[in-house]
Amino acid sequence: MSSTGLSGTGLSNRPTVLDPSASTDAWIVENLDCGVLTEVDRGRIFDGIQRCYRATDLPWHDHVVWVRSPQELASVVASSRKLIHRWHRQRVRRAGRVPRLLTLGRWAAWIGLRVLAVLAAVAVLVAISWFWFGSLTGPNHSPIGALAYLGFIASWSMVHVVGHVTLWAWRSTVDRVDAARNLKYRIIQPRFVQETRRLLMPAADPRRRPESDSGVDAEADSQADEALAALAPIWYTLWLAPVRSARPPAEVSVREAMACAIPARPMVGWIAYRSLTIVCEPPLELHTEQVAGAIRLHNAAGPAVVWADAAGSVDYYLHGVRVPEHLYREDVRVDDLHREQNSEVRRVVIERLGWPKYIEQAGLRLVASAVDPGNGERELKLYDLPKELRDTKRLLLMVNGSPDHSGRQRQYAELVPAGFDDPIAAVAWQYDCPVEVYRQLARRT
Amino acid sequence: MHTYTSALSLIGVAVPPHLQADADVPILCTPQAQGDLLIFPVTPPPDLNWEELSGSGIQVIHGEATGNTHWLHPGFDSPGVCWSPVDPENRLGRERGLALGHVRVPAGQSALLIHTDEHGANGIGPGTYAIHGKRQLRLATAQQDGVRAPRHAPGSVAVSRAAPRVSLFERTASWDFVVD
Repeated sequence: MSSTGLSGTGLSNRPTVLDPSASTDAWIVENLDCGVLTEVDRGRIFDGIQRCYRATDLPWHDHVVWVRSPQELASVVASSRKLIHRWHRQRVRRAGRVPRLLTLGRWAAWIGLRVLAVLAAVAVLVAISWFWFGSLTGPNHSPIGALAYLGFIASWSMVHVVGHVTLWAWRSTVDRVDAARNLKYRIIQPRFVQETRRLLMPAADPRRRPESDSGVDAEADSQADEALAALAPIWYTLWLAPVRSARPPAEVSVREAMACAIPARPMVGWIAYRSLTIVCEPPLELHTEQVAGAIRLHNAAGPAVVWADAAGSVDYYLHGVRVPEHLYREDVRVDDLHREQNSEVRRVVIERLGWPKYIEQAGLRLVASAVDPGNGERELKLYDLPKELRDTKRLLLMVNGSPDHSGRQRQYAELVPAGFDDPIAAVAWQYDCPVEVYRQLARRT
Repeated sequence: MHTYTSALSLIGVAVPPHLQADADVPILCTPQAQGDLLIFPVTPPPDLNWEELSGSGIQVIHGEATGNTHWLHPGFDSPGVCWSPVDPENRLGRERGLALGHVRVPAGQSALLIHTDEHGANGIGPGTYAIHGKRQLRLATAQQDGVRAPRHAPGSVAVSRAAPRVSLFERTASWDFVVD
């Protein structure tokens, strides 16, 4: 397991292309960079996002909001509808008075034209019957009916043609304002995500040099895929989890935040709407660990993520699990721990506290104890878990056979199934060996 | 008989200060444990593929979290010690079985199980043994998932600071394989 802590002072001086022979691990660490963005970095991020929109044939809106932490990101997402409305109103105001009046008059004109068409048809009927027969009804009615119907069709068609030509002329003038009034504030859905991902991944591989676009290095591509797959959980944890917990409005569904496609690939998250893009700047500090090929946020000696917002937001993570501040401190109270609803949080906090210390503070009920075979006079002890952990398993407390580097015999505890009343049987289950075999244990180191 | 010094020198490791360097490593034919590994005599299955242990020994298991390794070495004048690793896909027919392999020590010879850190070394006498790892359960998943964010008026700031349910990796097994 390896831990890294990263802090940065900007990205402008980073190389844009890495050595193609660099390992996936090095590429991942290279891309877990953080720090304050310079104006050059912002410009590159802006261009990258604009490229993503245009690649999916979506009009670029030029409406970008920069935030510095997921908390600010969540508040902007919650008020995104208001921001989009305000931006559209500003666009409408900038469009000019005449187009605004024309758009407002469009619906009135449309309705008016329909009414005019009906009146015109009636007038034609009246005129035909009066001119032909001197009254509104003829001797036999049937020629009047047919002629009236033909007249109605002719007049209706004439009115429609005139109306459509008029509106076509108006539409070319008021189209921009009309589009502004047709507010679409949904977050761009999976089609955008999939297509920008296809755009992002080749562009995001810093090992691909511009002149080698036609000759794709399959191995470099697969390493880039592996690196992106390893980074995706980090991005998800950093931005989406806090945003989801803030309950954005029902019309908006936050699907994904993606890192930006610029050659340096900083830790930048962004959420795309049709008329708004929210970009979250990288954190000031980021601490991770690598276990079994996976990267996760972790810091046992302080916050794992430090953000650059005005509130100085920090996030605490242990082995990839976000831990509330009151459970992170050294003197965590067992009552607070039991009130925590998330079982993953409880697990990592207890493991950090240590099961023996937890047993002592929680006052667990001792079920049985027995001398540990081959381990001198040291005992195995079996405890019930407290009901607050909502788990019926039992806890087996053991003493290490060898002293640790401080010379002390370390105690540790592990969970076993609830059906065991005998500690020896429980530890034999742990090793998957017959109980009578474990009772014959001659030496434990 | 090996001491901790001579045993650990086989894998190029110095004796940690908390262990007695000149302490003997007893050679036993009975069950014994080294940390999270258990060695105990068994009647081996008939279809094992035995390989003779070379003088450089073999890594039985490596703990990723701790970086420590359990090594199996032939003892003094023990060229006939054999090792048969268990295929990880077929350990005891279970999803992630605990048997790591079998050791066969001919009469008059011995083998050593050596740890790179705190557990020192264990001597294994003549016989056929199984080496098992160790398992432990995890805490159960809670019924209620996270804390709901409070309702807020449109346009106001609403940020919940409760820890969301974050589980980055799918865990399909109900217990963990423990290696120190």
